[in-house]
Amino acid sequence: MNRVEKFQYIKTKIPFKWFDFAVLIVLGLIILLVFLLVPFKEGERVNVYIEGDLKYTYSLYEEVGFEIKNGENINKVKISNGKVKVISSNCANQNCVLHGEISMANERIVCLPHKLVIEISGEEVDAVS
Amino acid sequence: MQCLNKNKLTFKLVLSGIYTALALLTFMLENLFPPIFFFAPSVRLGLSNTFIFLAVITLNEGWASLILIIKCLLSGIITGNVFSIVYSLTAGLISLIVTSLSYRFLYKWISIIAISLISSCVHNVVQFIVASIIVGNFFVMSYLPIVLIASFLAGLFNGFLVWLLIKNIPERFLLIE
Repeated sequence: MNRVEKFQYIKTKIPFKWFDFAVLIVLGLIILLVFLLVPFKEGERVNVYIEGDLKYTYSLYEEVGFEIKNGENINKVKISNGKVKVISSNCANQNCVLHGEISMANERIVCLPHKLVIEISGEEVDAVS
Repeated sequence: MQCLNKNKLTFKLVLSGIYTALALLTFMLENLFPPIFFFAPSVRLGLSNTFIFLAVITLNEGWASLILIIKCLLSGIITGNVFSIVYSLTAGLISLIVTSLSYRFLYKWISIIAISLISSCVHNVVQFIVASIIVGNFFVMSYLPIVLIASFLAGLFNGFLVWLLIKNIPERFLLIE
């Protein structure tokens, strides 16, 4: 089929073909696999990574507010009631503030402009890393 | 319309200009709304990509990549987030390659909705890989399940939208022989 024939085909026929189901099933299986590989568990510790290096670590169950400074980049983080959130940041897109609270293991708040990752780890940290 | 059909290059240039403008407009409109999921603020519908897919169908791959590059550069400059050009452009170009290859060789078997689905998933996966390379570790990957489901739904929606656009816009505005 050339371009015009394909266009006519799209315009006149219904937009489903039989192999679509194969695509749907394969993509659904991939998503299911990804879901199984990233399990949700109770969190234990809050780890702060800057540019890939572990800088600070806190317990998830302490009541603490702190500032993460890296040059001009400042993020204010608060841990309370087993939840972590970024209160304020001086980054451009504010995605880390909009992300809200995290509480489960393997959840992350990422601030791409500051190259900052705040991650909650479960018990088996050594096995994962 | 006869006068438009006289010069093929002019027609294609005008059409790609319209696609670029519409893609930028939908991108800006999408940015105005708050994020759909509060826990993943970067998840958006990606409506502007429908026009790039439309360009792949009605013009060709070269015009579509031109539209994509201009759209990414301008959207980065307009929103003031120049940093985002890096991953939107790489993800956009790779998913455009996937889209155009599957439209050229796989269209016999799968429909445009399935192609849109594949390319939206590829887009998000590539964006995650680029983001994790920038951050320096692969921890960002734990968002992947949520984002994959969102991109699945967005791909379905966008593919259906492309089909609706092609079905309802008169052919003489879209195609030149």
